[in-house]
Amino acid sequence: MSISIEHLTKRYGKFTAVDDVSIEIPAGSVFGLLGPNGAGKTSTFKCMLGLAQPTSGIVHYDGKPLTPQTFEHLAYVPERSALYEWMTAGEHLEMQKRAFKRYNEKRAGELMQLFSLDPRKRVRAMSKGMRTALSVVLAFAIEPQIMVLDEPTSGLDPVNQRSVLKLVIDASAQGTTIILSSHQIGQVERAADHIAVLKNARIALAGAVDDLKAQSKIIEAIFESENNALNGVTSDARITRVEKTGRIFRLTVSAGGDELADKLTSMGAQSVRIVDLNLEDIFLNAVDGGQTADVVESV
Amino acid sequence: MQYYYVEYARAKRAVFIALILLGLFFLACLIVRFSVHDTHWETDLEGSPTAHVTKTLQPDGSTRIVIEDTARQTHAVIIKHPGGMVDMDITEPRKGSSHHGQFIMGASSVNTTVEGNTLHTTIRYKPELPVFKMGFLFLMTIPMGLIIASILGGPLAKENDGHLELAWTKPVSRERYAIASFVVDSAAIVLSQLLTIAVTLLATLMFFVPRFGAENNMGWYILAAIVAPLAWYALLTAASASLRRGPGLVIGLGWIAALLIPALAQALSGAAKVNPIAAWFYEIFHGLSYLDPIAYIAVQHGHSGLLAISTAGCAGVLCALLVGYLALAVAQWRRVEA
Repeated sequence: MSISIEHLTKRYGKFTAVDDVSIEIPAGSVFGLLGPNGAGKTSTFKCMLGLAQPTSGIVHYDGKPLTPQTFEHLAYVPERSALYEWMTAGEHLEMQKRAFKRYNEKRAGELMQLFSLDPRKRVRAMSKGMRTALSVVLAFAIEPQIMVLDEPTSGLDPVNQRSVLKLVIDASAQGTTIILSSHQIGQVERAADHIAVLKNARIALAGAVDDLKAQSKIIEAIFESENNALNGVTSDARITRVEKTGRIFRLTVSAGGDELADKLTSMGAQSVRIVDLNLEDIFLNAVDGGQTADVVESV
Repeated sequence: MQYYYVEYARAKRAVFIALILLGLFFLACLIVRFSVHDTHWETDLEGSPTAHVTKTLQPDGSTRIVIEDTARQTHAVIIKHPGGMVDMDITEPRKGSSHHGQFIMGASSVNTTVEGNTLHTTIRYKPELPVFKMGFLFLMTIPMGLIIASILGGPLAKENDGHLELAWTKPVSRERYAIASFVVDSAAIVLSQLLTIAVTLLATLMFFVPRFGAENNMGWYILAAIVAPLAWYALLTAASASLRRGPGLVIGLGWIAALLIPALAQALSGAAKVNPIAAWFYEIFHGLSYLDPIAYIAVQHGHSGLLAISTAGCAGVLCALLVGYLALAVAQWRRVEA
């Protein structure tokens, strides 16, 4: 199922949580929705799922608006646990079993084993990671066609984080459309084929991950002294971000990488190399960067 | 498909609480039953190996039984009347905890007096057993219904308290989800009332076999007794449907307000005739009492002149309040956002 979000806006009083966001998510793709805290990711999810009423805009699933029947094919893992403290993990599975026709009991059992969850354990006795894992189990057990995963690895140990990532990739391979939000950008990079970066409630950047990576490069230059300045270079319109860590400068450039690398060499750089961007670079560039590059001091 | 599993689990727990309360009540009855002798007196006295029993048939058809037990220092005179009535006068040594007293236990009235070290017990057993009026039996279950209604009250606020992401991502409309919850909770409340009747009858059987009767308005009494706790549940649900937290505070304050409003109206009814300010407050509290399901319970018991309404009217208004409050709850819940 494809998802189309058109001009979505959500205001809480005078505060705008989501501002004119439009996203097209092709069927069977993994879409990463990134952004710093408070950028509007969770509000976007809530509006998509009808948990909050959009101020304006509309969301379509395969060209149709959201109805209760849409949830027969849709699973949501919320950022904050919505589980019932007084119920056991097994009772939560029973709840899903009774509510969803597509619930797969065998699959649920396998997932419970994967995350080492005890069905007799009450949620109130579970750690944050176990609660996240149970939410993931509940979502995957109904074998949905769409999954909305808001921080699905929050609180999980690295082994279980990897398990969730594998589940996402496997589900996508079987045609499930997945929207994923995570602060673990490396995980999003492994799973997502498309991303959008939200900044101050608006989309700052969107596109296919491969295209975004191809659009820019990083020039990494090492100078002899920490006090070296890039006189005049940072005003070049092709440089979108400059990051300085001691003697190392990292320049994100949209074009002309070779020419700028030569320029840095002529300015006395001991070592200059051009590298591909990773998703974290793209994200930081979208969140921090601008047309005029500012020097960002890193520790 | 069943969308109400969570509410079903909550309702099961509430019925379990009702069973615990009823179990305690039954246990208390059991203790009373076995701590006090009733018809066993005669058998106990006659069965003693040292007892000397003399039976005489009286001219009026009654049987006079005199039991003399010198070893136990007990003297008893039992007269069995033809109609089944039994009079017993027992004189025996005072026991440790014996004291003056008079009580009715089932069909027997028991009177005890203590003179020095001697205990006199007079027992009169009348075969006319108390009649259990069905309407009254149901009215007796209202307190249990109110307890369970308060435990289950505000189910929508319980979902609002951090669970909407689960509740609203099921393939069911909010309206159906809410109504299914109401139905499950209502069933649990009514079940707890029926269990109360069953346990009450079981406890009664330990003392005597009751006769059953019907009031003129029995149907209305039963309807009102069932609907009153449900209307209270609906009021709590409506008052808390848009809260972002659990309904605990609403339930607590609700109880205070529900008891205070009719009490204040009642208290001001006299002063309202002479004092215009009191009259003004009386009108407010009196008007509010009509919206308070608990105010109608006093009407059903016939103790209150506050609400000018018949039992049938009472049942009707409670039904209207039930439907109205639930509709209000659903209307509010539709607008809630996660």
